[in-house]
Parts: sequence; C-alpha cells; structure tokens
Amino acid sequence: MLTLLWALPGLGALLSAAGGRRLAWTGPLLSALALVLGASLWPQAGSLLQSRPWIGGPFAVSYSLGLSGLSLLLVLLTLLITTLTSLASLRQGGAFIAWMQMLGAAATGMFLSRGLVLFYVFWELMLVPAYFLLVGWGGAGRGPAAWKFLLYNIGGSVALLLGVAALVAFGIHMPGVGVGAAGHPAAVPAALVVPVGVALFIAFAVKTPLWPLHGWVADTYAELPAPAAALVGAIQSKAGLYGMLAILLPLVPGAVTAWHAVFVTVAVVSLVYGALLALGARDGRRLVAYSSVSHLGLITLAFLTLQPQAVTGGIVQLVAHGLFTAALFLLLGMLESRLGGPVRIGEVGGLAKAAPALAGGLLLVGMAALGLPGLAGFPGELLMLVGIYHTSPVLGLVGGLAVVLAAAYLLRLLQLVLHGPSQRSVADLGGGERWLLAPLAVLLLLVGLWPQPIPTQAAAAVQAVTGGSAQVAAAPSSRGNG
Amino acid sequence: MGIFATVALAAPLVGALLLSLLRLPRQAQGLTGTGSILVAFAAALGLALTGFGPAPGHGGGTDLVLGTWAVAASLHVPLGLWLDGLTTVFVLVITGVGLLIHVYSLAYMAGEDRADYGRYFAGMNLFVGAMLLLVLADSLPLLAVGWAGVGLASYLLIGFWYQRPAAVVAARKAFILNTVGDVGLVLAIAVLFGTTGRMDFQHLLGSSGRQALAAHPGAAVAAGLLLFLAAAAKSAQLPLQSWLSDAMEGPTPVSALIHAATMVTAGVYLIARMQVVFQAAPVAAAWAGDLGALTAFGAATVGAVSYDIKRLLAYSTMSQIGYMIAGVSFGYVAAGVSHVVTHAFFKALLFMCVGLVMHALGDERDMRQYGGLARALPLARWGFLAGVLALSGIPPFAGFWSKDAILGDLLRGGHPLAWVLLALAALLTPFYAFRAYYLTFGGERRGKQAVHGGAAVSLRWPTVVLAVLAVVGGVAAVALQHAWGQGLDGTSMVLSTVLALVGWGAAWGLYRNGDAAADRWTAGVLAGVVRAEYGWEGFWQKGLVNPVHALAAGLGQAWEGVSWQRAQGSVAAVATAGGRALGLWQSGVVRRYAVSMSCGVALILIWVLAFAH
Repeated sequence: MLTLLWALPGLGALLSAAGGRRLAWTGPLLSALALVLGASLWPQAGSLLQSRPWIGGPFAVSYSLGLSGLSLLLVLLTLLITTLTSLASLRQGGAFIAWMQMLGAAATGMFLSRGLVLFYVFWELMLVPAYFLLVGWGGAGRGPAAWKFLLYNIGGSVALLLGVAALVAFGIHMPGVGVGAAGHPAAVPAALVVPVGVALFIAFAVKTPLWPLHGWVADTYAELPAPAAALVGAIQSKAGLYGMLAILLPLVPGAVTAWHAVFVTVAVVSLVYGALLALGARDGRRLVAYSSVSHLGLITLAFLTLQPQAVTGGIVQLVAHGLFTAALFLLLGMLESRLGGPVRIGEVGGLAKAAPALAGGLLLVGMAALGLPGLAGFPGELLMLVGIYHTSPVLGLVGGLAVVLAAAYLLRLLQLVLHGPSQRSVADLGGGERWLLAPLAVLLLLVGLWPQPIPTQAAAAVQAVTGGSAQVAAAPSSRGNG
Repeated sequence: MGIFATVALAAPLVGALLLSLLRLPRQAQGLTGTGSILVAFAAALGLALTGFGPAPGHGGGTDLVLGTWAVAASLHVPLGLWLDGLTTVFVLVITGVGLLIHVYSLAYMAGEDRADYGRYFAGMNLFVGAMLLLVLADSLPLLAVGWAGVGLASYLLIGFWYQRPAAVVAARKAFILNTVGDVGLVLAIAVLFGTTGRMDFQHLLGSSGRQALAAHPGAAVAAGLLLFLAAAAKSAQLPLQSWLSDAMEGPTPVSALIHAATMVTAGVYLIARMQVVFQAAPVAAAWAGDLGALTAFGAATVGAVSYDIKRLLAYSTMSQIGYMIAGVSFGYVAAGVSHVVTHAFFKALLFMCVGLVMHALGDERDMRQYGGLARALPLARWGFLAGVLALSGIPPFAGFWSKDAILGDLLRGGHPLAWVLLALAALLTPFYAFRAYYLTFGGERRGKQAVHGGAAVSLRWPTVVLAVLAVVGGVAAVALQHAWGQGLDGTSMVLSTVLALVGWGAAWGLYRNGDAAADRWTAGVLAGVVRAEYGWEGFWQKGLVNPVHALAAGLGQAWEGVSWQRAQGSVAAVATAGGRALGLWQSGVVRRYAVSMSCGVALILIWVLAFAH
C-alpha cells in the first residue's frame, strides 16, 4: 500500500508522457488520489512498514518503505504541492506534467524509503525531472541556469553516494529516524566518522541549499516555469533537511559533534546572508530564492541544536515553508503571466487597485512567510527560537535578527508590487486560480492557529534525534501491512 | 462568563471574514462591520456583569481552556481564554470605544468606493478581533497571535490609501519597528520558558512561576527588558517610538481607535499582565518606567511645537502612554490601567473632533491654516474643549483622576526621576493642548479653504457620547482604583491641579486670542530640532537602515554577481576539461556506443545472475 503513494504519481507521469495533452489530467488526478490515500493513513503513521528483498549478494539490499509521522507529513506536503502545481500547469502539455509527476513521485519515494540505497535511488531520480523542466521550459537564461543546477547537484550526489556507500559498507542500511530505524549509530570506524558526516552534510547542504553551496538556487528558481519552481522550491529543498534529520544527525552524531562549529557557522551565515541578499534582490523570484536560503538556514540551525523544542519547531517550519514557498511561486507566476515578464521590484506598483484578490493572496502568503503570528510561519519559528535561545542566547538573537530582516524584505516585495501609485492595470485572479490557491491559504491559516497535529506526528522523530538511541528502540514499530 | 468572552472574540473576526470574502453591497458592509462590534460590546457587558474578575497581579484568574495549541516535548501550550479584571477592563474599552468609532466611520468613510469601504471595515473588524484575542489569550504564544494581528491591521489601515507614497512608507516603518518588538516578545517567551518551563498564564502568573523567577533574578531582568522592548514597539515608547507620528497617514478614525485609544495601550497591558516578571526584576522595572517617563516628557516637548494637528495628537498619545508605562512598570497597575480607560475616552474624542475639522476643511491638517473655527463647527469646538480639559488633567475632568493617581503613586513610592519627568510633562500637556485649541478654534480664519459645516448623525452622536465620558469618565477611573485597592491622595491632587493650571495659564497668556503671531517662536532653530524629534529619525536612517540596504545591494551585485560567477567559472572550467576527457568516449560514432552499451548490459546481467535471488 505504501508503494502506491509514490507509484500513483509515477503512473500519472507515465500516462501523461504517453498520452500527451489528452492524458495530462491523469497526472494531477492520480497524485490527488495518492494524497487522499496518504491522508487516510494519518492515524496509522508510525506503525506501517513494508519490506521485501531487492538486491541480493554480499551487500544485500531490501526494498523497504515505512511511514513514520515525519514521513507522512512530508509525503502529504509533497503530494499536495505536486497536485496543485500540476493543475496549475495543465496547459503546458503532457511531457511537462510527466516530469512534474515524476519529481513528486521521486520525492514521495525518498521520504518513504527505509533503506539507504533506496533513499539514494529516489534522491537521484529527483534530479532528472528538475533538470529537464529547466532545460525544456525554462526562461531565456535557462542554459547557464541548468548548467549550474547540474554542476552543484551532481557534486552533491557524489558526496551523498560516498557517504551512503560508507554507511552501507559498515552495515547501516536504515535511516536513523522513523519506523524500523537503525538503532546503532556508532558502527562506522572512528577515523571515517568525520569524512562520512562531512560528505553527507555537503550533499544535504547543496540540496537545501545552504551557503556557500547555494550558487544554483537563484538562477534555477528564476528560470523554471513558475509551477515547477513552486514544486522544486517547496519539496526538493526539504529533501536536504530531511536527510540531515533522518540520516546525518542520528547515524553519524560523532561528526556532528566534532564539526559542530563549522556546521553551525554554515547555518548562521546562510540565515543572515540569505536575508541580506533577499533584501537586495531585484526580482520576485530571486527574492524568494534567497529568503529560502535564510529560512532553511534557520531550520538547519534548529536541527543542529538537538534541542527538542527547536527540532519540533524545525519540522513544523518544514511544512510551513513548503506551503508558503509553493504559494509564493504560484502567485508570482500568475503575476508574471499578467505582466508578460519577471516581477521586477520597482518597475511595477499599485497592482492592489486593479487586482484586490491577487493582492490579498500575496499579502496573506507574504505575512505567513515573514512569520506573522496566527499564520503558518509562526509556530515553527517560535519553537525554533525558543529552543535555539535555550542552547545559546547569542544564536537566538541572530535568529531574531533574521526575523526582522524577513519582515523588511517581504514587505519590500509586497509594497513595491502592490502599493504605491498604480502604473498599470492587470486582471484579477480568475476562478480557477482562486480554487488552486484556496487549499494553501486555508492550510496557512490552520497551521498558524492550530499547529498541534504537526508536533504530534513529529514527536517520534524528535525523540529519536534528540533523545539518543535508547528511545529509537522504544519507538513504535511493527511489521507488515504492505 | 466563558460564553460572553467567546462571543465577544468571535463576532469581529467573523465580521472581518465576511467582509473580506463576500462582495457585499455598501449598506450591508456598514451593517456587518458595525453590527459585529455591537454584538461584541453586548457580550463584553455580559462578561462584566456576570463576573468582572479579580484584580490583576495576584495570579488570580479563570483559565478557560478550549484545546491545545502545541505540545513539543516538555512544552505544553494551551489554547484558551484568560479571564480576570484586567482582561474585562480592556475588553470593555476595546469594544465600547470600538463601537463608537465604527459608527463614526460609517459616515466618515462614505466617500470611499464600495470595495475600499468594505476593505476599511474588514481591517477595523480584524483589528478589534485581534485586540480582543491579545487581552483574552491565556498564554504568551496566543497573546503573540493577537499582538501580531493588531500590528497587521494597523499596517493595513495606516496604508489604507496605498496609492499615496507617504502612507506606504509609514505603514512599512510601523510594521518593521513592530517586528523588532515582536522578536523581543518571542525572545522574552524563550527566556521565560527557559526559567519556568511554561508559557501559559496559569503557571507563569501563579506561585510556581513566581518562585522560578525569584530563583533566577538575571533571567527575570532579561525577560523584563525584552517584554519592555515589545511594549515599547507597540506603544510607541523610546527607543522604538518613531513610527506613531508617521502612522497619522491613516484615516482619522483609524488614528482614533488604533493609534490612540486601544492598540498603542497593548504595551501597557503586557506589562500589567506580566507583573510577576517586573516584580522579580526591579532593574528592568526601573528601566521601563524611567524610559516611559522620558517618553512622556520628550513627546510632550515635540507636541508643543507641532503644526500638524494629527501629529500633535500622536505625540500627545506617546506622552500619555508614557505615564501609563511608568505607572504599570513600577507596579501601580490600578493607576496605570485607569489612565488607559480615561485616555481612551478623551483621546478618541480629540481625534473625532479633528476628523470633523478635517472633513470640513478638505483634509487640511496644518493648524496654521485653521483659526476661527469655533462658530462654524460648534460640536467640534465643544468636544475638543472637553477633550483638552480632560487631557490637561484639570479637575474634575476624566484625565485628572488617573494621571494624578500615577503621579501620586510615584511620589509616594520613591521614584524621583520618573516623577520629575512626568511632572514636567504634566506642565507641558495643558500648554500644547490649549495651544492646539486656541490656534484651531480661536481668533480669525487663516486658511483659504471653504468650511463645510454640518456633520452627519453618525458623526455627531459618537462624538457627543465621548465628550460626556471625557467630562464624567473620572468616575470610572476612581471606581476602578477603588476596586483594585487604591485610595485618593489629597497632597498629590493639589500638586497636579497646580501643574495643570500653570500650563494652561501659559497657553492662555500666549494664545488666548488665537493669534498665529504668538506662535512665531516655534519657527526658531531650536524648535525645528525638537519638531524633527531631536534628529532621532535621521540617526536611525543614516546609522542603521541605509547601511543595511547598501550592504544588501552590494552583496547582491558584487559578491553574488561577479566574484561568485568567477569562482563558478573556474569550477566550470575544471568540469569542462573533465567532461572533454570523458567526451572522447562520446565520439558520436554509433558503433562505439553500441559496444559500450552491450558491455554495460552484459556486466549488469552477470552481476544480477551471480548475486540476486
């Protein structure tokens, strides 16, 4: 049954690839189906595991999927965003939808994987559709953008391959968090702990991305078609952070301890540097791209504290960031299609008069992104800052600084686009566009006002990461139910 | 009790939702916007009558738990309402004054088109709902939700006329300075959680919170200062005060409700609510109280030389809130909160009267263009006079009873610095208030605009009600002080009266003819410096905002654009060279591909056959 969660969107990819425009609708339909299926598994999260032999030989590898609470949250996010962004791009035709669905399927599979080799396979599979979406449908600067994207991400893949290979070679096949997690982190020889940990960190930092490995992100997000940027920005970035949480932190804690200062520096620089770049950005897409570097840097910092409130907050923020990033890119895309080009800050203005619904949507999403209490960005931010402050008041203050800068750059985006004297008139959101954004808007409100379901699902993962291996063994895990 | 609180909270939020989602006709917009506040006010009365609640500061209060907001490991944050006397007072003021200002807005905003009219009432309803959440929340995170909600509503309404660049800039400035305060609040929550392990009032304000804070005096000071930072942003106190005078770009009823009567007193509420922290941290209390007193004095001096009547009232608001902050920070909750109540009456009244004047004069705000309006605008004149008397602290008008209570408490409690600053401010207050009164209504007409007298019914009645409250509202202040265990002090009352009369006398001596020539001294260099808020604004702009923006732009261009590309270029060159080497393999000769592929397939087959089951 867990296989269906990634196989349904995968089937959607095949159908839309084969059937072209006529069958393009199967993509969003099948991923929506998988979303419903996933949602129905909500009460069973933490107890579902399926496993069968896959590759034999000296390094026997099994095909194992497991649904922990953390996996469920990220799978639901992935399937929701895949469905919505595919719906938003139905007009692009079958091949486009096929790549989008494949990206969604690969990400879903990755979040479900309970074997490191399987995890790696899905991870690599994610790279392909993003590249082809960029090359095939990207903007004018797609060539260099795709080149950068590939260069960085393949570099990251090599690092991940080395890290995963080392872990597998020393007998660790499972991620350290979730159903059927590996309960023994110290099987890697002491001399290799740091190299393996650093390789994994590099791989995850590229995907997230974190400074100084973020060079690909602005061009990629600026050149991708908006729905694809929404999907990549919302989902692929979570892969890196999920990797840190599920693999790096629990399996090679020695490396995290030894290189703690370096990793923390990377996170802190990301969150400040990203915010400053966002403040200086000249177009909407790049602003959101750099703001992601800042937001994800804060989440990384929260994870690195290994403090329960901070890690919980980080997981809540993973979900929130996925929601508001997708919504921001979708809205920017809608705006771009009206302006006939990128949303250059300072060259448009006063759009609120002609397009009140668009303005209201952008306001809601922007406020969520800057962490306004009452919206989705706040609970995670609060918990992260509380936890980070608990471990280091100075880092807590730096986190607070990033929050102030976030308000500055997001207001700059909102105001310079929406307010001021109106320079041109644009059509307001149509009915279809409103329905597309409505689920995201509702979730942004819901998560803000009542975040509790997310920490509940994340509790086991938080305990596994922060509480050491004893609790991992005690975490509920039962077999069967495939 | 619980049902009344819930209804009061829900009604404005439902109103805001309906107004922003539905395309209602104009009448229905006004009806929804005002009706929701009427329901909330009725519920607030119900709440007050069924159980006013105990005095704050002793940990007493009812926690009405509705659910769980979040649980993260050892942390448990409930989702519920906190009911005690402090909450009830604020709920009554917010919904009562809120209702009057909504009614006033019906006619005041009638010139806007349908969509903007709806947007206005949606914003106002959102504000009232969020403000009620702020004072009803039973935990700090939930309080922060209300705290940010009022900030959002304030931002939206300051920038209501978003086609005016000044309004857009003012809105952004208010939001960002308030975000600084929000971060202060979040960090205060972090400190309190670290010290007490809780974020909910039931535990924080109770004996366990008290003991934990007493055991960690350093943490208590940090929490107190961070809470004050939050309060300073929201209540426009030093060092985060400078957004409030610019916020006057918003419509005048917005200034009356949000930027005078209610939202800006949220900082006072926060300090009053978190007394447990300030009691454990006298150092933080002294900083907060003295900075409040300094704001009270400083803002009064700026008000004394202002020409723009709305900005003058804004400085007056900062100044009066400085009194409240000084009062509650030093632990005089009854005095400080009773000043919130009377100030809400008379300051909302003053803004409404200014609104009447602006309506009559085509939105003119410069007092140099006023003069001689007493005959044309009798309601505005008498209303303004009542407000000025109350603001000046002339007995028996409303402001006297609460302002004097603060001064008397500080004198008896031994806080000389704060007392001196506030006494000086008490001298200046009647001076600037009557200066505004005489320059506006006395003498001869100076400006050239035609005066459109006669106000709609919905403009008139709220003004009259508030004027009555400005005259007799002292009863409420004294009753509240009595209920919370504070008596009257004869010595202090005499002293306060003398201060007020001296200030009034000075204004009378200079301005009684309403002659603009008497105001010539405000054109001097020194007065100019004061009017520019002592250069405070330029200091922030040049010292912080500009450098950060320059750094951001510089990083974007220099580092990301050029050096980064160069670095990437060299990586790319290496990769290309490697690629070329591998490219030898990729010769374009199909035969070689076929050979490679076959070899690969064969290898895989062998591996699978050998090892896989």
